[in-house]
Amino acid sequence: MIIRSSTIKNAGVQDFSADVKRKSDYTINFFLIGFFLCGMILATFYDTWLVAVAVGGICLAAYYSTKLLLPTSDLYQYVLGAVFGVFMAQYIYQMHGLFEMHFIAFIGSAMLITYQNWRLQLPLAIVVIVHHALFAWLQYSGVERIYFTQLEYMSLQTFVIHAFLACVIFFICGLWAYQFRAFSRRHIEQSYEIGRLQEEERKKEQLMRAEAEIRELNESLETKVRDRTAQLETVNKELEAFSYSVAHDLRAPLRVINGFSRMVLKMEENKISKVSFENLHIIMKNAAQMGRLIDDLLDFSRLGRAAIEVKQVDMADIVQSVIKDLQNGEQLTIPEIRINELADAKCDPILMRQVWANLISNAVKYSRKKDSPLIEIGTSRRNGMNTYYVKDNGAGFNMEFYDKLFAVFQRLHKVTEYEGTGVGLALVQRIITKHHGKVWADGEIDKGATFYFSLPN
Amino acid sequence: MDKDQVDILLVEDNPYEARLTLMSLEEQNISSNIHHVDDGAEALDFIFAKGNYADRNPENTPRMILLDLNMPKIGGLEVLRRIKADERTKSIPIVILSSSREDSDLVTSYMLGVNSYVVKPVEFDTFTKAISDIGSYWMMLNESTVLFLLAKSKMHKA
Repeated sequence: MIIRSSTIKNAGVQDFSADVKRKSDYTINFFLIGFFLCGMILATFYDTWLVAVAVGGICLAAYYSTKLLLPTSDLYQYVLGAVFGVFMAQYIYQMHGLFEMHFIAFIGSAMLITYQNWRLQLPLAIVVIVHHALFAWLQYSGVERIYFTQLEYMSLQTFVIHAFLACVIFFICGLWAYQFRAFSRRHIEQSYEIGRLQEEERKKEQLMRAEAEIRELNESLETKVRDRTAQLETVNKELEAFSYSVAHDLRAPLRVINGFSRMVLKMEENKISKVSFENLHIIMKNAAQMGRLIDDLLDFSRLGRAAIEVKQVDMADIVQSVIKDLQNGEQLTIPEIRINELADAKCDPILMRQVWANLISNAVKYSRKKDSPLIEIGTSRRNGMNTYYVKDNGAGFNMEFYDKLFAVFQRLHKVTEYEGTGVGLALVQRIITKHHGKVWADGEIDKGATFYFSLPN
Repeated sequence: MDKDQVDILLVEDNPYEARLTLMSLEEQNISSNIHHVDDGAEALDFIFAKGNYADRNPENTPRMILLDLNMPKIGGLEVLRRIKADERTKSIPIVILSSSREDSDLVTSYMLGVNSYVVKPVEFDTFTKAISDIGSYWMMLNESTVLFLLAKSKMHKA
């Protein structure tokens, strides 16, 4: 941030310097041409045309060639300083030592301030001093056609005072150039600082606006969440009411159908035909099946609403008690069940019992037609999670229909082959999902199936 | 039927279910004085001798009530609450016969002081078993009739 602002500031100073240079260069063009033309006019006094054209021409050539050849350098400005000195010397010469022509140096000196660089005074001062010393010496040595001054009293003392005063003027002009530059720099830096502060202020305002917007959004989001939750609660209540009426209203007529069929069967046992006897049985069986479907569906939907209570659970204990219940129940013969090591788990014991009961009774059901049915139960560790499995060597299933395996009311076998409602595995999946676990299976027709589930530790 | 001498009051709005229950009770040889009413309002009228039953003697409360939960006008839970709230009737044993397996109904019923809660199963065999349990319960209540019923039952089986 600081680096960036300082580079911006430097760029600003550079821009300003370029601007000063451009404007000064522009003005200088007129002055140089004016100086050259001045030389031409002065040539008319003492017939110094050669000097006016040659020296003035060399000056212009020196200035413009440097400027063209080295456009990025400031060298041409130093050349300009020297050129101003040379023009002064030229005019003095052209006017045969007319003293007032010495002031031309001061015009040049003042002109150079425009570049705001005190060093430019140096070449001018050097040229002036060298010229004065050389020409003064030559003139007083008696060399002909050398014009430095028409004054009679140009002693060394006068010369020193003359040179000193000239240097003072150069110094003052240099000082001014220096001051100008310093002032401009300060001014630019300040305006950039102000700009930066304004930018900061603007950004702060933007940030505050954005924050206010976010706050508003959050508030509206909260309202939305509240509204949605209320809606969901309403829907959930409606669903509960629906389940309740399903339970009552659908089960009652089924009970009546089943009950009266049974009554007829019992009272007319000896009078009805064999076909009617079978038909009545079919009626009763289907009514009972529908009753189971409704009950299972209600269990399934109730589970969706139930909260789970997680505790440390002894899985081996649950599995033993499930198998005991199966043996005591109306199930047919229970095949050999091999129970390997079963790791404890953190889960809801009541729901987990349901999972084991469904998986084990499935294994019993689908393997009972085998000559030597075998069921294996155990735990294995996979990816840091305990994975439980129930494996049987029964009817198995086609992996092509895997998608339907855990879906509600979806079955891969006919009711006449294997009884059931198609809710058991859906229930298992729902319970395991509620525990943030995973359930999957693999199987092959007539080779058996293995059901796995894993629970987070 | 003598309205004053009722042993079992059956409160059930579905006539077929009522008939089924009555037949099952009969099958269990419990055919003592049973009265059937169609809804909760009528049940309360009967018990507290009001409305159509104003001529009944309210002292002669039924000895057991079989109560359905889901009924029009006044539901089973409300009937249960009113009976258990009244000093004269709160000791009558009440068995809820419900189609609902909702836990909330079960909990509410027990909180209101129900004596037994039976979920009516779809399968008739299970249903008759439930009714037979009620029968045993009834026999325990009514020891004086036990011997008679047992004798009758033996005779029937023979």
